[in-house]
Amino acid sequence: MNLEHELRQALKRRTPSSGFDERVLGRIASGATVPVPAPQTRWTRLALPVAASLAFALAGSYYVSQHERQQELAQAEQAARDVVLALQIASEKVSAVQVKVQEISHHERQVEY
Amino acid sequence: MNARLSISGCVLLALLIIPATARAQGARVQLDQLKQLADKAEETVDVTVDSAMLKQSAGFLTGRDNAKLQALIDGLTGIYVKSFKFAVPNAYTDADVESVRKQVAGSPWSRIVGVREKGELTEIYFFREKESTGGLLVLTAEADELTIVNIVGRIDLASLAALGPMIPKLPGAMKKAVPK
Repeated sequence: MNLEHELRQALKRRTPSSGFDERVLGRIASGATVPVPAPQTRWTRLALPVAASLAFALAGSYYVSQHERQQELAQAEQAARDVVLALQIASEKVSAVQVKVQEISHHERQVEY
Repeated sequence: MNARLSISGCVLLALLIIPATARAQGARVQLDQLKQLADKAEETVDVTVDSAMLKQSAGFLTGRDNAKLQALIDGLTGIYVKSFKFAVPNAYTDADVESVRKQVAGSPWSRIVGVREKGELTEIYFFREKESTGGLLVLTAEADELTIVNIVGRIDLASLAALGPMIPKLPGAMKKAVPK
């Protein structure tokens, strides 16, 4: 209801200020011109999309290279963990064997005496 | 004439390369047949580290504390571990153990330690390459656990045994064990 009233007010016919038609006709007669904005050249029309595409491509390649680098680092870290785990198990087993061998040789020496 | 020379060159090159490759592969023991044991195991550790992965890991194992570890790794071209811990005894068969042992029976492998007591078997085999060690196999078969470690490359057993306490505690290093 309020909107309708506002619209009516905005679109209401108004009489122009006095001397409006003389002023318009006078300017036409004097040949006064209004500067028209220069039309966009082909280059200016292309510049923005090209710049945007370049920026997008650069950002994309940077993201991809960073992602690949992170993946390589993660793989290397996992490989290091695997190496450590494998050597840990190997070391434990070899140490256990050494202890067993020492125990056996110690026992044999005792039997000899 | 040139073609004949090229072919001869290629054949000569192949003759030089193939035995070296065969030697490098020679210390690798096939452990894939044991994969089925993972279904029965309570805990499984399955580690496969080839030469590329060893090189990759180098960056994470630098520093003075890791110097001995790095020195040990430098001579290696592969580390393969299969370890199974079972909830019940005798979950694996003699055939499983024999499938590994038959691969290291005889030259160029030689058994340097063999301990069999109370139903447990522990063996260490060396792969001899000329005068140096080209590989190692550690086999421990207990009632409820079977572990096989196969190291390919130059390895010093004393350094490996002494390495235990020095091994860096990388986060999650021992969390590789996958509970079933």
